[in-house]
Amino acid sequence: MKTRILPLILGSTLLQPLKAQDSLLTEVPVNAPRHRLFTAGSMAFELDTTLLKLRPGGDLTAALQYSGIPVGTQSPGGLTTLQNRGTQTAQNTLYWNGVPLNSPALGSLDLNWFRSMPGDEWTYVASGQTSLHGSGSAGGSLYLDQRVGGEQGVNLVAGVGGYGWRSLRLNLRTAPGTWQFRSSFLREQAEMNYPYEHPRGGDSIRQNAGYAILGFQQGLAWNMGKSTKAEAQVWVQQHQLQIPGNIYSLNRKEEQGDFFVRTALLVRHKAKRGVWRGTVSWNSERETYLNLNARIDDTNSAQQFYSEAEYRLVYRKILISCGVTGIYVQASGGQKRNAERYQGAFYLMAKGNWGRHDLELGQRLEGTSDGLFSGWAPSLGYVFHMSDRWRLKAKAQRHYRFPTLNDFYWYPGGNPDLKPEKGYQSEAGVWFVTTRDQPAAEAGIQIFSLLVDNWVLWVTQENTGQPTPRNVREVWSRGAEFLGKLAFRAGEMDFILTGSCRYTRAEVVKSNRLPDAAVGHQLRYTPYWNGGATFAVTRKAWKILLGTRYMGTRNELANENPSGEVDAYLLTDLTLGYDFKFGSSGGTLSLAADNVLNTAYAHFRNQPMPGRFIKAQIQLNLQ
Amino acid sequence: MKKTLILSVLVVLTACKKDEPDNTPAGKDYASGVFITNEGMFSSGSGTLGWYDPEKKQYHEGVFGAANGFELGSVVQSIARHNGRAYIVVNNSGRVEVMDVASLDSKGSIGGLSSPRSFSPCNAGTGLITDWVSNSVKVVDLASNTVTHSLTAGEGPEQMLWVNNALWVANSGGFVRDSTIFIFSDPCSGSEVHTTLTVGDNPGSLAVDANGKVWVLCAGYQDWANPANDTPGRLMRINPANNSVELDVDLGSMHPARLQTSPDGNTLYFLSSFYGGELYSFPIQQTTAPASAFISGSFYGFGVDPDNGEIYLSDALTFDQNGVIYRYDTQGTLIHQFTGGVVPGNFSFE
Repeated sequence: MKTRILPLILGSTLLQPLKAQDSLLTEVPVNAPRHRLFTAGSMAFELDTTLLKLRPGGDLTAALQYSGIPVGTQSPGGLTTLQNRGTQTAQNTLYWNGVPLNSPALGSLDLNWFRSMPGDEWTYVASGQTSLHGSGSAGGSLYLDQRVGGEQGVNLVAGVGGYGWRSLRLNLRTAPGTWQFRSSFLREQAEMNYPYEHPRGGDSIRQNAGYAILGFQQGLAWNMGKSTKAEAQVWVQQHQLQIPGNIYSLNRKEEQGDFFVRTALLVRHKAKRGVWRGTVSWNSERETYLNLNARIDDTNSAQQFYSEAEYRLVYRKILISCGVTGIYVQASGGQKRNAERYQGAFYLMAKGNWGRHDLELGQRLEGTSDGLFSGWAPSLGYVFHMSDRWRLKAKAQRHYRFPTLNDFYWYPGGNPDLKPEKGYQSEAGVWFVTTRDQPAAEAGIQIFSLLVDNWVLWVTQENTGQPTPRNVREVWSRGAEFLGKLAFRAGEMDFILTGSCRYTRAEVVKSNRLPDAAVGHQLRYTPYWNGGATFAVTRKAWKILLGTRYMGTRNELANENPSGEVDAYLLTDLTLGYDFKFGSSGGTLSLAADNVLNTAYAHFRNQPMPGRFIKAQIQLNLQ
Repeated sequence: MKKTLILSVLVVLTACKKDEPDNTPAGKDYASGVFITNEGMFSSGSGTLGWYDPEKKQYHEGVFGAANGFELGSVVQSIARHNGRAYIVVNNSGRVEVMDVASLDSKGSIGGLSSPRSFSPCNAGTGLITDWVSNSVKVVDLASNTVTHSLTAGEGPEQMLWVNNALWVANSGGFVRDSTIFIFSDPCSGSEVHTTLTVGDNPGSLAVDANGKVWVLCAGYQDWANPANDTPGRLMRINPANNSVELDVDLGSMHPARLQTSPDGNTLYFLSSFYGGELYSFPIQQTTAPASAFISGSFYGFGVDPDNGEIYLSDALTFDQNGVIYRYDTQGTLIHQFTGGVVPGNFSFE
């Protein structure tokens, strides 16, 4: 029965908690990234790669939203950020093959810089991962793992859609001898001049919202022998973006260009008792910003060297991972002083099993050359297997986040006196899992509490009028999250239902700047409620995916005045897919209608998003 | 069963929309109260117009939006009254909204502007608007709300002041630096003929005192990369008869803004900093910098009621929430304190 249900399909891994976190290892895992090994007690799930394949453009943002992760978007190609558990973008980090990819200088993460390529594996951990990763992971972590190996062949994906949307992705995998290659090419562009209803009438076409992405990735792996494997990856990407003004500022002209070069070298070596893993990475970012209104034409650049050495072993059935990381970040440009920072960390993780009990311990210590120090950052994760189907999970940890180079050295306004954000978080939940019976079901509910002191907020400096970061507030975010999935077969049809729902109360509990009416109120643009659901059906070669995402009411004002309220929205996306074969090759045709009900909505006030948006895509898999 | 469940979820998700608050005080003669412009959050276009009833000590937020069904736009900069209409300058939207003062009804808008800062009437049918990015003063036909001429100004033209039938324009430096006042002799006709007066760095505001002398408040220059290049703020008195500088007061490290006078013209007021300063008073006979603040605090906006001399000060707090407005009498005693809109900055009295 199990084999009959699990291959279902479309969406089969959506919202699926990682099984690895609850299973114990008697052998040292060589290739598994750390985030798959140490998530006991966390809310972790893989994003559905099948879904990402079917969605034209490899729409990562929608996949996150279907999973109930709040994502804020100014425009379709514009700044798109995670708001997991009330946190802001710099409190969530994206890891590419274990290397942090947030902007080295800004600390921020723009999801629009990322499109999913065939073979990519995306994992989201909603819980903080500070002892595992350090500064910047207090909110949550998004993992992109790209294997150089895998099924060989050529994968070509081409799409067209409304508002000038065009997408072309090419993925090539080959493995001659002991070598493995992966090459990926991406081109996507859109004009995004979509209509909307202006409250004054008249102007009703979104202007200056276009974007263009040009990217290239090259992966290379070499099996150097039975015990050693080296893997190198290069990622070059150009991102050109128009920044639209709000609907009352149509004459604003802002543009941004980002050019990235990312490299990573990963080496794994099986030693006698354990496994050595080494990572070296260099990331470069060059940003050009043009604001015709403010007469700013500015170029800023930043680069990051990342190195990590990890040793893993299993001792009396306890998996132990310890390592050190070293980071060098340098930034310069028109609006950054020439600034640099050295950062070093030590971590120790351990996970073991005693009967029905899984226990995970973590510890981390981190400091920087400009005087920032984390103090000990321990974590404790626990899973109690009540039965084969029921589990209790809990996790507690201390977290921190260092101010970024931008916070410290941006001029005018940088504030080198900032203190690191710090605090505690805890969570607990109950989970039900069954894959033996028809139907297969999996569901869990988790409550969380996240306390952040010295929250860094950019405010207006009183004596100069320039924006400056301050440790303004203390925030307590707490809430509950639900994830559920049901899969069953009826006749020739396979069904999948998934749902997620979150309640987040992210309240300012203390302010260092008084009077501050924000105290006692929800953080800006943080919804109390949000969620997502998918309904997928497959019958032979046909697939139908109905995805919904709900974003509750947000407020643009820190004191939650009703005048700043931004309406909730519920969006429905419909995707149809058809698999076809020719010879030993095959492909998929898909047709998507995003916002199929043509709902008028905006995530940020007066920043209207597109109505119904049709996209078509063909995917060819050539062996 | 499934249909019922899905329908129920949809109903729950969409049913909880709040009613819009009614911000329109019925039966009011708006012309008699105080209009307060609120810039709004910079990126969202949520600037508003508030109205304050000094007698009842009641504040009504968002009166323009409530009356007209749409918002003013992005960064509501200033407001000026002329011939029963209010000209509301919306900086980041590049527009000036025209509103009937009595009814609050929109009477159109003036476009073709890049970064308008302030409005001043020329005559019954003509108005003037300073425009930062284009470094110009726009001449506007108020019947058609269209720009008819553009007068070249210095960097960042800010406040305008009519003195003896000539228009004084303070070139505030905008995004860079300037130290001039342009005096146009006949701007209403579109004539660019002007006299250039050199003053301190970045003059932003102007006032005429009881003796007919013109006071210029210069913010001074701030070099963010190298503070050693900063120049001090200055308060200068100029005789408009011959445009000579009669008094030049060094305000030290202060970068002052928003110069205003008491109704009798015998006392000057200004804020020590544009974004969060204390209020200083300066009797016109004084010749040295004031030693201490008249009203302490962190004030962003400021206005003086020309009828009774009462002082209105606004605190924008952290610029991401509703600000607080303080109303003082001429002795600096607090009369009333109330919550305003987001980043309240400018006041207009009857």
